Amino acid sequence: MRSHYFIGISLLWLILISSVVTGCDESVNPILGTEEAFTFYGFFNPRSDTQAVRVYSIDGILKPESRDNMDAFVTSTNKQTGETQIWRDSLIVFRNGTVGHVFYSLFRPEHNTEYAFEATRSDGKHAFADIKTPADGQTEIVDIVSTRSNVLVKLHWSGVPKVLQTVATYTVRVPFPDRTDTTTIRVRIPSGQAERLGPDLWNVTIIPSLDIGTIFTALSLRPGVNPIILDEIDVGAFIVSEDWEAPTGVFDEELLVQPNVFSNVENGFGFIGGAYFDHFVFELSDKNKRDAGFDVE
Amino acid sequence: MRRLIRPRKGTVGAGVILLLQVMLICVSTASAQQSLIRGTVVDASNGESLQGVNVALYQNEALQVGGVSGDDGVYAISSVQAGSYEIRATFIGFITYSESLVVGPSDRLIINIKLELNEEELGEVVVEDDRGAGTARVLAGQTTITPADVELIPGPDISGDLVNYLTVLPGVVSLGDRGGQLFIRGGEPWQNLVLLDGMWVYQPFHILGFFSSFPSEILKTVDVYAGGYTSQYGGRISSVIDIKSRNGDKKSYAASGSLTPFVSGFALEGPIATDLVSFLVSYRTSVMDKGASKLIKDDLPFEFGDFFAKAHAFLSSNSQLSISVLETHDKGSVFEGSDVQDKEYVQWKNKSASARYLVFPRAFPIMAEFIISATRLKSSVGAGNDFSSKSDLASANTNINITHFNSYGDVKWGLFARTLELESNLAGQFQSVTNRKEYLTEVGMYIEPELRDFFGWSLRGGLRIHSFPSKNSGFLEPRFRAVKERETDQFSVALGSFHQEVVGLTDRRDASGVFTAWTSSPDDEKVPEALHAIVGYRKTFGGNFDVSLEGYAKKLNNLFIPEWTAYPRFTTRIQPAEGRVFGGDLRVEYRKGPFTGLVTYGISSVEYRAKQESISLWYGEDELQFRPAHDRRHQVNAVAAFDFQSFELNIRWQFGSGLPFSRALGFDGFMLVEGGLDVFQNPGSRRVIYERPYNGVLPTYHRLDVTLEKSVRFSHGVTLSGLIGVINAYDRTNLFYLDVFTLRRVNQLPIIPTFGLKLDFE
Repeated sequence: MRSHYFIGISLLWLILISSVVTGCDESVNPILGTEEAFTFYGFFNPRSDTQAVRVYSIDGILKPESRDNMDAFVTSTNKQTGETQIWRDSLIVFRNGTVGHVFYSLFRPEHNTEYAFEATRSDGKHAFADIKTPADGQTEIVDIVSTRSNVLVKLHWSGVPKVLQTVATYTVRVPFPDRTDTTTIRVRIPSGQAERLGPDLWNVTIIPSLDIGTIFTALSLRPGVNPIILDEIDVGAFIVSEDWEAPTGVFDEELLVQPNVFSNVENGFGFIGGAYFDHFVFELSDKNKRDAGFDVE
Repeated sequence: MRRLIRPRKGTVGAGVILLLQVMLICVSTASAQQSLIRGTVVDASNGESLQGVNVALYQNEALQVGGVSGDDGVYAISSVQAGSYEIRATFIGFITYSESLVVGPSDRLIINIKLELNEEELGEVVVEDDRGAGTARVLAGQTTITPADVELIPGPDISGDLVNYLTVLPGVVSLGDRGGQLFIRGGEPWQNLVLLDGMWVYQPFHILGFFSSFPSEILKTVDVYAGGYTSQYGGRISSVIDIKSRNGDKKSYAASGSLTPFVSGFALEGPIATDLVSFLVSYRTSVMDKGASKLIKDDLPFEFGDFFAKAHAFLSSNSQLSISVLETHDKGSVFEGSDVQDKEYVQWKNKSASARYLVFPRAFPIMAEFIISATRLKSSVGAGNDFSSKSDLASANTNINITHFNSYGDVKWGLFARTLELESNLAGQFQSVTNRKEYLTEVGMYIEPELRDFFGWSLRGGLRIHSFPSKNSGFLEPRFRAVKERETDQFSVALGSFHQEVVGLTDRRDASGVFTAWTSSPDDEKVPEALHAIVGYRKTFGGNFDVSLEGYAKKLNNLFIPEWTAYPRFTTRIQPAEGRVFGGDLRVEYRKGPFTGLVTYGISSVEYRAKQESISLWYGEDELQFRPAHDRRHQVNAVAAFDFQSFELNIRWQFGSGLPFSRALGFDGFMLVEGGLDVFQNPGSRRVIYERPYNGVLPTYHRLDVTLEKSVRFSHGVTLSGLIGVINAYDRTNLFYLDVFTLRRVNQLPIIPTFGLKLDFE
C-alpha cells in the first residue's frame, strides 16, 4: 500500500517537473516596441525668423539622449505654397548637464497658414504633424475703469484664434534715497485674465491696482514709504492656434505626461502648435496711476 | 460593515450596549450551570503544555462527557452532573492518564494533568480534535501548523523555518527567495496580521525569503487564517498568522547550535525553578557574506538576524504568566539601480515584547487571558547609505480575552485598546503622504458565542466593535464560522467583515517593492475594507490520507494603490481602488510511517479597479480593471519527506505561473507645452511609453529543493545532525525583478549547495 502511494506521488512529480522544465520559457521582453517614430515639442512662430522644435527619437531602452546626430530627416512644408524647408539638428547641452536634440530652420512662417512638419528615419518610419499658425490680430483698449484704489484696464484682441496666457510688464522708476534721480526697473507679472468674447475676439483685463502689491513685494519696497513711478505697461499675450487646448482645460504635468494625451503628432507623440507673443504697450493717465497707487512726477 | 463617522446613539453605541447585555447573559447563564472541571495538560517530561489532548469523564467505562485541550493545554468539561467519575486524558505517544474523582453539585474543580511519554510502541490512538494539524486539515481558511510540519520543508538551514511552510500553502504567494513579502489569497503583505504570543509583529519575514523571525525551535503551534477569521482578531483585512511559542523545558536544560552557509545560531532552554518556571532563548544571524556568497561567487547583499527570549511560569494551579521578547533586523538591496537611479537599500528593525497572564478563577466558570504588548518597527529605504525615506511605528496593545465554558458551547468575549505612534518621512515618495507624525488610539470589544451542536453543525458567530476616537470613526464587523463534522468528512463555512485603519504604503508597480510606510488612512477617505466568504470540504481516507477543497471570495473596498505615471521613477502618488479575489485550494496529504507526501494546488484571480481621476482621459474608461502585480493564477507545491533509519530526506518542488507586469512600448521625452516653451532652455524629462498597465506576464517560477539530514546520538544527551542539500536543484533561472527601464533582470538564487551542522545537548 505504502509503495503504491510512493510510486504514485513520485510519478506525479516526474510528470509535473518534466512538463514544466521542458515547457517553460525563462526569457521575457518587457519592451514591445512601437510603430511610432518620433516625439515633437515646440511651435511655429510667425514673429520669429528662427523656428525650433525639440525632437525625441523613440527608443527601446531608457538611456540618456545620444550626442550623435539623430537619425532623422526633418522638413516643414507650407501647405498653401508647397515651399519646403529643411531643418538642421543641433545638440543642446542644458544647464542640468543633459543633452537634447533641437531641430531648427531659418525662416519666418506666414500668419494664418497651414504647415506640415515631418521627421523621417533612415528606415522610412516617419512622424508628422499639421500646424496652423494663428492670424495676426489687432489690439485696443476698450475701457478703463478707475475709481479710488481700483483701476481695471480692458483690452480686446481681435482676429486671433486664442489667447492662452497673458503677462504684464510694468516699467517703473524708483527714486534714489536722496530723491536726486530715479532707477528704471521692469517688473514682469503673470497678470490678466483672458476671456473669449467671440470666435476671434478675446478680452484681457489688467488690474494695475492689484499688480502694484506684487511690484512692491518684488522690489522689496513699502507702500507709503517708497514711491513707485509708473511709466508704461506692456501687456503680452501668447496667441496660439485653436488646437492648443489641454484636455481638461488645465496644463497639469502629471496628467499630460501620459502619451497620446494632448498630442497632434501622427505616428508619434508630443505637440507642435502655432503661436506667437503679441504685445500692446500703453500709458495710464496721471489720475489712473494715482488711483492704482503709483506716484506721478 | 461600514465606517461610521461621528458615531451616534443607535449605531456603535447601541452595538456596545447589546454586546454588554450579551456578556451579562453569558455570565448569568454560566453561573447557573452545573459543575465544571478545568485544568491544564502538560508533558510530564518537560512541562510543555499539550494541545489536542482528549480529556473525558467515564462512569462504569461509559463515556459521559469530555473536552479537548486547546491553546496552553487548557481543557474544560462543563455541565457535569454530581457523581463519581473516572477522568481520563489520552494523547498519541503518551500513557493514558486516569484518576477517580467525586464531583459535587455546582463544583468548580481544577485538575491539572501531567502525561507521561509512552516509551513503548505507540498504540492506535486516534486524536480527536476540532482543528487538527496538517496542511490538508484546513478548516474554513484556518490551517494549524506544528514544528513537525515545518521540519518537513527543505531549506538552506538545518532548522526549519515557518516561512518555508507558509509558502507551501495554496493561496500564499511569495516573490521567491528575496524580498520577504507574503501575499495571502489576494491580500497584500501589509494586510496580514502576524502575532507572536499576542504581540503584533509588523514586518516579520526576513529579506531573504527562506527565513522569518520564527525558527522551528521556538514554535509550539501556528494558526494561519487565510481569511474569515474570528472576532478575536482585527485591524487587518487579509489574513492572520497567530504564533504560539514554546515555553521551554521545565525539567532539564537543552541547547543547540547550528552553522550553515546562510545563517548560524543557537537555542537554549531550561528550568529556572523545576516544574514551575522555564526559559527559552533563540538567536540567529546571517553569514551569507562568508558562506553562500562565496559558494555562488556572487554578491548576496542581505544581512538579517533575530533574537527571541521567553520566560514562562505556572504561578499557581490555576494561573500562568509568560513574558516574550522579539528583536529582528534586516538590511539589503533589492533594487540593483539603473542609469537613472542609484542602487537602493532597505532596512528594518522590529522590537516587540509581551506579557501574558492566563487564569481560570475558581469562583467563575471562565478562563481569562490578559495580554500587554509593545512593538516598535523602524524601516527606511534609500540610495547607498542615504536612507532618505523612513517610517517608524510604535504601538502598545492591551487585550483581555474571556472564555465562558458552557454546555452548548464556549462564549468568548474581550476588550482591547491600542495606542499607536506613526511617523513617516517619505522624501516625496508618496506625494499624498510626505512628512507625517500622528497618534492613534483604538478601543473596542468583541464577542464570539458558540453553538456546538445545531443540527450537526458547530456554529460560531461573532461581532467586533472598534473605534478610533481621535479620528471619530468606528466599525461594526459581524463574523460567522460554521463546521459540520462527520465521521470521515467535514464541511466548513466562514464569512466576515474586516477593516484596516492603519495601512501600509508600498510602491507595487513592479513586484519588488519591500519598503512599507505605515500610516493611518487619509482623513478624507474611507478605510480599506474586506468582505470574506469561504466554503470548504475535507475528507479523510483511512485515517492517513486527507483531501481538502476550499473556495473563497473577497471583496476589497477603499484600497490605496500607487498612481500611474509615465515618468521613469518608482516614486508615485496614491489613488483609490477597489478589488475582488476569487480562488480555490486543493490540498492532498498522505502520512504513514516514515513517509509524508503533500501536494497543494491553488488557483486565484485578483482584480483591482483603479479610480485615478485621469483614467477616463488616458484610457477612455471611468475605472481601469487590471491584475495587480501579485496575482499569481496557478500555484503548485509538492513535498515529500522520508524518514528512514537516522536519515531524513526532504524534497520540495514549487511552481507558480507568471506574475503580471506593465510592459513598455518604448521611451521618449516629455515637455510641458503650457505656454512659450523655449526648447533651447528647457531640458525636458525622460518618459516611459507604457502599454495598458499590467498587461504583460512574467515567466513562470519553479524550483526543486532537496535536503538530506542525518542525526547521530552520542552519550550524555548529545546529538549531532548534519545536513547536505541543494537549493534550486535544476538551476532554473527564476526572475525576481525586471527593470523595465534598462531591460536588466535580477534573478533569484541559482543552483546553490547547502550544508550544515547542528549540535543538540540535553
